[in-house]
Amino acid sequence: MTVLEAVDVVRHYPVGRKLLRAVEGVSFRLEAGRTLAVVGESGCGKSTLARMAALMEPPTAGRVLIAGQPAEGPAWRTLQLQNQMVFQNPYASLNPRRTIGEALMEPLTINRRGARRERAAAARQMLDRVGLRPEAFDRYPHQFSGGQRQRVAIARALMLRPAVVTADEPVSALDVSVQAQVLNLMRDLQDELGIAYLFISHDISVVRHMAQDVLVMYAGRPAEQGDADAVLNRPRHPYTRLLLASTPFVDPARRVAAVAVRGEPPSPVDLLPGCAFASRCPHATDYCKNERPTLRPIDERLVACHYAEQIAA
Amino acid sequence: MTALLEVCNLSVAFGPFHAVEGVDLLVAPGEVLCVVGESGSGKSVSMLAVMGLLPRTGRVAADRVAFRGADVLHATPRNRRRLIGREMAMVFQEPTTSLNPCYPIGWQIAEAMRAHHAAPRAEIRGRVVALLGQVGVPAPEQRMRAFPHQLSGGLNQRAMIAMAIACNPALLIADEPTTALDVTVQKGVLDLLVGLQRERGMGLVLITHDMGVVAETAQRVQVMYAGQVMEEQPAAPLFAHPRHPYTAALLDALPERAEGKPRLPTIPGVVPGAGDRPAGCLFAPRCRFRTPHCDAERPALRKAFGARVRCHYPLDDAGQPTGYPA
Repeated sequence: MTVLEAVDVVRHYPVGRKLLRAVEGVSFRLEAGRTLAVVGESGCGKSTLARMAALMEPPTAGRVLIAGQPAEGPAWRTLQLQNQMVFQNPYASLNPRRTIGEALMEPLTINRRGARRERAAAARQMLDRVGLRPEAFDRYPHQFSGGQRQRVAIARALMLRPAVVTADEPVSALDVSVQAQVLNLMRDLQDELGIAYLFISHDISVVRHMAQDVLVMYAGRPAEQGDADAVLNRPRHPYTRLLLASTPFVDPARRVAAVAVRGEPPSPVDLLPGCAFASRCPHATDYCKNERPTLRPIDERLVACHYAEQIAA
Repeated sequence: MTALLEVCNLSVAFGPFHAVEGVDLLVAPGEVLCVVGESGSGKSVSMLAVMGLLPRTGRVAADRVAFRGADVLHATPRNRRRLIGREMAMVFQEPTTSLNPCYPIGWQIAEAMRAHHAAPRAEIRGRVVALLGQVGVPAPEQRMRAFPHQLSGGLNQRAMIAMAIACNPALLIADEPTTALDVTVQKGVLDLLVGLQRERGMGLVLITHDMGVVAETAQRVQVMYAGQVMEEQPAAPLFAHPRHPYTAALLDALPERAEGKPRLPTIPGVVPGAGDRPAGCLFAPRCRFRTPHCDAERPALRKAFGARVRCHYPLDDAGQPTGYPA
């Protein structure tokens, strides 16, 4: 069952007289119980995409569908509840003046679900489910470590029993040992509750561990998307290859032959015609600079590159 | 050959909290040492203490802190200033907050050279352009007039590195220099640091929490936990055969090493805080090999299997603790 679908979504922001093209035509489908990871560097539009998917802001063009229903008009508000968010920094995403119990009950209170006693019971049950002690209910966020706070944030996202959880860099602020605990919790909850994750991350190793499908974004557009093993083990887009070659790995066998890194991503305000990656691409030709490649299927994934066939897997 | 930097038994306390406890450090000229640890492990504080950059609330004590054999800890402020910024330079984590927003980057790079009379005034401008070119800033003539907010994080970090190497330091300490940057930019900055280190024979101390960065850049690695050095080894054997249970657990928790496994191995519990530092081994409460001996006696850093390990039962090549009670 498709729980979340984006159809050619676009998001522009006015910047003075110009337009900042944050997301420029992205489509994906997310099935129940699966994880789709969105990878890319800062400014590539992955967080904007997440906010649109979670119905926190409307797309400039294109549609978002949740559980098959288009998120438009009166349905918007109810569909919003089906896709809840977990944010990067658990120190900033919890209200310091509310107890953990209050934070967990709030989504139920706002949506008038159950009596107070039932809400409290549901919150306590959720605490247990995410591996926190019952005493946590009456404590405040400052009494918890970063990893525990992220557990609270995940618990809060699950209170309304959403079909999808959109997690924007949920473990980037955590240390390795704590990161492992939170990733395990997310996998356990997925197995138990059949939640789908839209998982935003810049960490290739984390993505490889969590996701079945990957969407690599560059300058607001999809560069390569499809099966995670295909994309990450046999990348076809030069940008995916650059990303993998730049990622430091502990295991020397994983290191991809070094690609000389040059330049930085283009400004999203002054995008040139042609492929956005052309200025940094070792394979770029004049054709790339003038003609923007469209997303096309090759070898179990979609790639937006004119020379994807020539780029050896 | 005398060591470039020699630190013996360095401790730093903030009130009752021991942020750093008994750290020894030796950096040879032309060497890359990585100091790795999770947040709160004391890796930054120990380096700030060496540079004399801690606030007054931090009490620093050490048997010896010497640069090229000369004492730094008890040097007069005047003598210390001659050293810091010229012979020993530091690159900080957040380039956008460490640079002065009110001055162009070229001016800030020149300031380092003016302060240390590193070049005749007439030549400084040319040196700034050359330095920016050397750290890979495109169009340095124009960029030197740019303010930090006009540049990307990667370019700002390059400007900061240019500032740090402006006076040809013998030792460069880089505190999480790439943590705020994207991977493709990180790669460029790390390549630059290692390239400069090779070219100039500089000693480089790289502080990081990223095991991948350590594996790809370090010659020697120091693993810190709760203010203590837990293990020290050359990089390749550290990743092949970690000798301390903490290092082993940390490496196991990496998603990269758990391919095909649905669950990642974790380290239960949290790093001890100010109030709950154990009397024995600091890692004991979270260690899978904990014994009563670990709780009773804090292990010393000792030699085992060619490494220095702070554990009563250092791990053998099979990852099993040696001398472990049956």
